[in-house]
Amino acid sequence: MNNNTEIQKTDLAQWAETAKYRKENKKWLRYSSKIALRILAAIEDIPDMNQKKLAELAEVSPQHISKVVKGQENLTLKSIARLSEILCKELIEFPSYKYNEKRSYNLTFVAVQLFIDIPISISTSNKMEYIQQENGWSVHRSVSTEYNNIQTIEL
Amino acid sequence: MKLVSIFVENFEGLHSVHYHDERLAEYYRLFELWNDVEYLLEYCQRNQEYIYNDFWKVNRLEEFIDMIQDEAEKLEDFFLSFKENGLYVESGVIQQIFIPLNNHTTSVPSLQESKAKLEVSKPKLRFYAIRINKNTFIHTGGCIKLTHRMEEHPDSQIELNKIISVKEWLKIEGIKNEDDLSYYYEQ
Repeated sequence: MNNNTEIQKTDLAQWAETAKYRKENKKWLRYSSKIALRILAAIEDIPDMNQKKLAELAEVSPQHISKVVKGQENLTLKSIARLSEILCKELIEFPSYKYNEKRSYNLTFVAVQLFIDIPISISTSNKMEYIQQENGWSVHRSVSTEYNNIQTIEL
Repeated sequence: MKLVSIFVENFEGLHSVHYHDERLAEYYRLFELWNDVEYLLEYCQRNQEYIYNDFWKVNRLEEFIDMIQDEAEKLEDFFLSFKENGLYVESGVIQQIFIPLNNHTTSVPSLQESKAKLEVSKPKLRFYAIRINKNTFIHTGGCIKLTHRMEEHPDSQIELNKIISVKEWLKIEGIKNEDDLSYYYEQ
């Protein structure tokens, strides 16, 4: 068996490992690709910006950035945020979900509210401020309540 | 050039050409490229005139890159299954993914020029190879095929030239079956 055959066996083992790795990690590798594309586009849009400069600003090695823009780096949230700050571009977005969707009210309930004057919203705020008096300074506290958009001031 | 065995049993299986001027054998080189999003973006930017047309009906480059990555993933899985399960897996033989390069041929001559593509709508990735038998192919290269005819794009034209030169090289080396491959690797 010659040296070439030995090298081939190493290549083959590496390929199989790499292919398996790609298969097992395909979900986050695809996320990484999406982020990489946005980084590359942001670099294009900033004059004098390049991968080397990005590496300097992010205080990482150029090799690390090279891996990032190939979509092969498992980035931490901290790294994504840092790159996002440097590039002045959001690199990830969060999907809408049940707790940030606009609430839709039941129409019957709203109608009842209108007729029997159930408060739709009540908000209260406390305010403290220094007031200068004749005999010196005092602290004045006011409580403001908003009730169905009508403001009342309680002293 | 030299041959590298990708997955073989008694020299039957997939072999790939390693060209002298390349760091990797074609098989490894292509999957590395097709998994490199920086390369894919640069490639798509350079070939926008071939991508934004009535055939591909693509509106965004990222959409096209996604499709290439999907295909690369499926293609690699297909070949990996042979590596993991052996050459005679239930799904069939390597030949099932290859067809003759010439769409109009009906014969199967010795050292036939072949191509592999996925059975998806408008497949973009091509693997090119020389057929030794139903389960033995010499992989010569591959590309993102953007045009109908290989001669219509410089990259696929290069691949066409590679197929021709590998076929000539195999003839010179006297490789036409697994026994010849066995002799080649033992040399």
